Amino acid sequence: MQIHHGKHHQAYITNVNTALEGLDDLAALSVEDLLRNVDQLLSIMVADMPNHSLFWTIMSPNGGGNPTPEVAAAIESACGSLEAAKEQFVTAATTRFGSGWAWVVVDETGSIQIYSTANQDSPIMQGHTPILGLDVWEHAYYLNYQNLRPAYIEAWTNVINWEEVARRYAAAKG
Amino acid sequence: MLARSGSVFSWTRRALGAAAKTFRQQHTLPELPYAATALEPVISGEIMELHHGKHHATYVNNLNAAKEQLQSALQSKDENGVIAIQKAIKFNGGGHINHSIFWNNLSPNGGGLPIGALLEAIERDFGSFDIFRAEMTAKTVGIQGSGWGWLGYEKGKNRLVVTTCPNQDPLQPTTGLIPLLGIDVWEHAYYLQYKNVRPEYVNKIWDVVNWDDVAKRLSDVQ
Repeated sequence: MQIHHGKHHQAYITNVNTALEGLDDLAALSVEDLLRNVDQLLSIMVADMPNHSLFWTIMSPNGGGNPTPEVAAAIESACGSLEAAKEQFVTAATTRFGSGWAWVVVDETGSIQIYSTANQDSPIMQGHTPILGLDVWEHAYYLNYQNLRPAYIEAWTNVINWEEVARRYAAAKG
Repeated sequence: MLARSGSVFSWTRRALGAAAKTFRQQHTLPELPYAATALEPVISGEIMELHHGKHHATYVNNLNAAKEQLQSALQSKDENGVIAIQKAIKFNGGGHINHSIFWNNLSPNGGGLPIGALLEAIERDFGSFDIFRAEMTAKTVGIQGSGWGWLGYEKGKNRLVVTTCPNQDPLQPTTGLIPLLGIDVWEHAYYLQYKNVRPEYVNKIWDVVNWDDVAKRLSDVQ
């Protein structure tokens, strides 16, 4: 956790600030340099930081258990049952080959969807609102679980902060 | 009577032959050419044991399973099944190919500079060894997410190229380049030792590059 938050997340923030500094003199940059900087800046701002900022909030030492009734109902409506939804989530997290995230989102119709994205791609990029996300980059679990990503995913369900998920769900619907 | 026993015999022979053929097609985990601790202090024995014995082994096992599924789908003319299994074949097949190259690209007696035809090619195509090394280091460190940095050979133009591939995408089927030297920057390749400091890992790995192996891969295709 210390390395994930204090090093990785910090690095994203530092890189954004550095990129922003570099953009002071926009007029002096060639078109290519401008595009290169803006692309990296956008990629970090749109995804890297918000992904991790969300991540810390939807975990809690007092977490685990079941979703709140409203969220549970929405999940059941989309997936049939909580068990089916969990299986879908675990599959999405396990079969993301490479780096990425597994998500529970509220989509453009207000319904729940469960899927994974690559690298730091965010559901926000497709107009969806993430209400729960799990980082499956190796740095998120390797020191504790090494190659055993499934064990990490299973254990992680015990620290989900369902109150925060419910708050994000309500905000997405409201 | 003779005809029936003859057909049972030939059926059995065909079944055994098919099983043997399948067994022969099974991929196996190649052994490390050196002890797991041999690349220390550049890469720890702990990483090598996990990287080879768990990660690469898993690619091999999953590749074998995926190919069995492919075989089955082909035999039953299940086009959806054939298509559905492609992702797993690319991922696990790529993982097996890439890591099989990687263990030989490295050596406890590695490091230093390439010599002979390889050095000449590097100087011809990059200007100098230092320029090549800087380019490959920068591009490899800069990979977003998981992937590999590669020194590849472009056969049609007889030139060396530095490029990268995401995830376990294998260099040759993806780009047409012949892989000469690969650097794995999946976090499992360095995290236990270097944590998030990927640049330190990539800078250090040059100390164990097996230039003889890289040179041989080039001479094999020229």
